[in-house]
Amino acid sequence: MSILVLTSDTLIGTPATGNLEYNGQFYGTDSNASRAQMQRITQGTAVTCAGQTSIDFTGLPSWIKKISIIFNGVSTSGTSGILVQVGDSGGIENTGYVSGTSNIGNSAVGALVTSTAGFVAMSVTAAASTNSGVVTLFTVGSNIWVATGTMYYSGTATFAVAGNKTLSDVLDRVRVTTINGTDTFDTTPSAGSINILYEG
Amino acid sequence: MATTIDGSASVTINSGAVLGITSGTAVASTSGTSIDFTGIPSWVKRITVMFNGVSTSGTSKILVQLGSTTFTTTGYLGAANQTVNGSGVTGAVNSAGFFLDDTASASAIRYGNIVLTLITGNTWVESATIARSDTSAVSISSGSIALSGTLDRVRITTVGSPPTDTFDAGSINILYE
Repeated sequence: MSILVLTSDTLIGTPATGNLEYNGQFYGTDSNASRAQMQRITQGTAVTCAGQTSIDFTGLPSWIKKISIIFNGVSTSGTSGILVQVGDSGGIENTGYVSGTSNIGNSAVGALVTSTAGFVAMSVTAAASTNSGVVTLFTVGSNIWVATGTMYYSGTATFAVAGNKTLSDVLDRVRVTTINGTDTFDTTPSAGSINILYEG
Repeated sequence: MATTIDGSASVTINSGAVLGITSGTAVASTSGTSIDFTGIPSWVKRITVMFNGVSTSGTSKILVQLGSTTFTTTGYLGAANQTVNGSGVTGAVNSAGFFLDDTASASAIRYGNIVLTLITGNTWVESATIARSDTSAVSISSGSIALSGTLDRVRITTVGSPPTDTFDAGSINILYE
């Protein structure tokens, strides 16, 4: 464990006592001996996803406790829905998810659609739709990840997403793909992008 | 790199970026046609706007607008969709702002968060879940807006040019990180 301790002599400003430790996490202690963990938030590199059947974010640090997958105007070539999958050193896992989504439209509530192959962000898309939203993954410890989020489905509906997945090892990658694995992300009606924020 | 322990459990690094979550000052949403949070730092990547029992005087829907120097009032994509008692399903497509929910009722009392996340550049993606305590209703929403510059403000208002409905209950605050 690497530890960086700043004494009062090295501090800039107040309080009179304090420390900062680094072990994948930061902690601050103020003059009242109140100690709190500091959150790091890191932005990935946005990916323009046109022409791909899946987008991977790899090399994620082991200290992550929360990941937000952000979709902006994403379009696909067909009607297959969108999956978010996670993985570890053994690769992306495509089984063992407990996941469901439903939507509220303009005139009806959609049926619950479940998946064991990934967190089902949207159960269906349309070639002419542009989809935006955020799916956030939280760990509850022991490599168990819980998903929640909302996704806008062009003009007609918003999906609500939830689920969980237990990995066999520490999460180090996230994949966004389509449910059928063959529909591609495209540029019609818009060339969307996907990015992540991660923090711990 | 300058490192500051500022006494409030925040560590400041790299041009003022703060490790940790910063809370704004809660505003009583009991008067006025809009509530602004300004001076938001340029390094912010996520903003959570929290609604605690918020109500308005009329039937105009609540909008959340973002801005860079001035508020952006066009170009919002996405929608909010609401279901009341498992039926009564409606939706509203964004344009002049992010609809907080799809409620057009002076008796509505709203609880929940709208989360604004920076995807890249100056483009922000919105995600929200709002529930009402005056009836069994929930709204979910998502959308996006490409700002012309770095975000520095968030406004909560109602539809209208200018808006005329006033806030008459509750409180609103933001967290940014």
